Amino acid sequence: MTSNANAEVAGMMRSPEQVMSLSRMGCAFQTRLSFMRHLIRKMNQENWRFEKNLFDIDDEGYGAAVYTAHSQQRPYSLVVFTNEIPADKRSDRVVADVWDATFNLFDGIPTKEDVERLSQNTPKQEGGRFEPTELVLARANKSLRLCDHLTNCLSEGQQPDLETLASVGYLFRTTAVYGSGKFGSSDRAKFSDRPEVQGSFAVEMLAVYLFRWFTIELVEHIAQKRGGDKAVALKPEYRTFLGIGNSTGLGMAPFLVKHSTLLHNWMDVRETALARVRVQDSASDETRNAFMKNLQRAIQHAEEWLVEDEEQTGCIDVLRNELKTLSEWCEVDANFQQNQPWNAMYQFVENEFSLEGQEQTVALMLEPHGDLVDELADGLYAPVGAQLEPGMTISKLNDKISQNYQWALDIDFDQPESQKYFWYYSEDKLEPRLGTRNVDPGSELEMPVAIGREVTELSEALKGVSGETTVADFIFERPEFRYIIRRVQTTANHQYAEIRDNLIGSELRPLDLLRFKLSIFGSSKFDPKSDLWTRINMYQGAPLPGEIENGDPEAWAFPLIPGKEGK
Amino acid sequence: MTTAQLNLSLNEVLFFFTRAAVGVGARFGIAEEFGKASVWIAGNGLDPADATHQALDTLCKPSFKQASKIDRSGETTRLSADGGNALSAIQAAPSIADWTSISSAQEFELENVDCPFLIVATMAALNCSGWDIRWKDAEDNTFLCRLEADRQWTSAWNGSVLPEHSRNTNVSIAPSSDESLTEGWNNQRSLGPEQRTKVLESGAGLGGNWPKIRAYFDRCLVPSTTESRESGAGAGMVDTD
Repeated sequence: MTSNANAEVAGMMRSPEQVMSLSRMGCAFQTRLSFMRHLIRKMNQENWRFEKNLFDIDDEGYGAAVYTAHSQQRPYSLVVFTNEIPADKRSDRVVADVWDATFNLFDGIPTKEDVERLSQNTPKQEGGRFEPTELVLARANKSLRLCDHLTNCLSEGQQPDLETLASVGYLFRTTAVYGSGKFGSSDRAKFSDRPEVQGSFAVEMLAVYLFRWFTIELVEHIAQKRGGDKAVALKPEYRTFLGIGNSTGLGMAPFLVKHSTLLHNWMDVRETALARVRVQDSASDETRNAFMKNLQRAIQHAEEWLVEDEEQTGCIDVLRNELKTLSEWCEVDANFQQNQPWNAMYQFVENEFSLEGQEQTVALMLEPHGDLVDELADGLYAPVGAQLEPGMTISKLNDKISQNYQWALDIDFDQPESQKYFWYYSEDKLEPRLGTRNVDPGSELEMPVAIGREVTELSEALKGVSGETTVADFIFERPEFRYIIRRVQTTANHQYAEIRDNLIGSELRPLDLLRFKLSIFGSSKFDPKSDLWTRINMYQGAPLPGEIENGDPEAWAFPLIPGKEGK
Repeated sequence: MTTAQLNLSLNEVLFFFTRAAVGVGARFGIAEEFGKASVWIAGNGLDPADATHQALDTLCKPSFKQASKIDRSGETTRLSADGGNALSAIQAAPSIADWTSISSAQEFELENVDCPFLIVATMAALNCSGWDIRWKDAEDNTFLCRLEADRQWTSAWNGSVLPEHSRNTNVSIAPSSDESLTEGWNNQRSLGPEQRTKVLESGAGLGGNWPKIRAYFDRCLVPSTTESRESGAGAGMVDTD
């Protein structure tokens, strides 16, 4: 891209004031740049190969298995253990201590000794210890309803009821997927220069992908053992429709605050992609038709997106109507014949649609433009974290605060509702929790998530300090401001690094943070259960091993109930 | 050297050591630098608990005061703690790293530093290079650590005490000289990024002082109550779908 083209794209990018609000982040959707989409694309383009190296599972579905993905460079293996657990112990909380399935992603192909070692540790999860050969540690619980239904049907030679299948959409849901050196496993730095897994959460996404494959084969195995010759395998389109669920809790929220440069990179990739599309002078018939096809799928997908939460149900209802309005807009030839038609589309939805509608349109706009945007996905990681600039003067620092933190300075932190909550680690397996200040104990141990408040305190402390004083000299006298000064300086160079909302105020909905991060992962069917957690589906509709090499790796963007495509 | 009791990943070192410093009262930004210094120590194949636990102890002492005294009246900047107490390396080292990154034409004298090696580790972790850090302990053992380019560093010492075990002494910091680190020294150790690569494959070994670090870390955790267990996080306690 030429420097003029870069300047045009830069000028079209949405501002941090607009996109770094919790309300908009909480309406994000997966795009073709999401981690799962990027991984599937890579597997297809690089002809990854898959094999089952071990399937030592008894008739009831308990035992061990090893499934291996061979990238161009090296193999990675899922090592999974399943066991029977009491029904009343099946919990998705961090504090659970038994699970239906526990697994690792192993760096290479494990030996028998590795599998034996892991059999003693992986089922214990946080209670076990792992080695740098383990890249990921995770666990999952069954959807009892769907697992039982499928095994019963298949063992009797029948396919499952489609409505039941669609009502859940997964056989297992993960409840934690750990990477980055947790519990002795591999540091990310060990593999961060490997092109096949360099992206953020690449190994975690690979682990979940392989686990999805295992869950389908598991129920087919149980059904076959139960039904013998009568048993049948799941129809291919039903297999593909099954994803992996996830119960996503609070842990993701402090992550987004802590890893500010990473957050910036994720957002910058998406916004750059959108801007590249918006500056296109025209839309070819091919891209227009591809857009329309995906729009129709998105409309159907929204019809099938059913949740219990009333607020989310209301948002989805509005979204459905808006997508139909967008379809009508697209039918007008003149809309696509004007200059910069995609920008015209964006401005139309920005003026007329809800945030959900706007962000769904953003995702749709990227879909037919892989040639323009896919390369950006290589930037979805951050090699360097926040850096302090000790030589900066206080005068410059004040300028940075004014330029980027007016949203924080406008909050009155003397009001109790502005500091209603605090984030902390519980002694209970280090579970991240949200407490209510002056009600729950522990606020003196709160995590450093209250960025707005800290900037306000810094701004106050800088009053009266000579503008020529260096940051180094100031923080020698006032070391309590080292953290926030480093953050302010980092944000100045990374415009999307800061969530521009009060993360401890009464208006906080942690769900908004969770949904944003999950959309970057590539999740769909957000199903909020409270303000603190949500269910989602991962890889629903994605090609399974054996399917990846054939067909379009992007065709699963809006997974639909089998047999209802085009209805 | 103590036998490793536990292998941690470098990310675990960062997590536990940062919050151990918070647990003994360090402000979060300072604790983060301590965490990075601990990772640097571990990444060089050394035991970070062994090297730093006493620096954490300093912050726990009733006599400890947060503020350090600074004297810039001469050519050399001097830092000391109040009332003859040990100067906390956890508190002082980040500022030394800050000042050295601004100008390479200065020298520092730190009085009665509790953990001299932590000064080295913090400066290295914060990407300082071209500096000599030297000290002599009460038994006249002498030490010199040189931070070089490309994340290489060399240490030289006389006597049986390792640099990372040396305690409570004055420390001098100056731009690297031409002084040889091989002649006139009984012991040398030269390490660089290749060591970290090995640690990434094997894990960082921690010995007998790890329980103390863990105990300090646990001070950051909020006790769980029935109410916080039920309402402080999402997801049901029992689930079937």
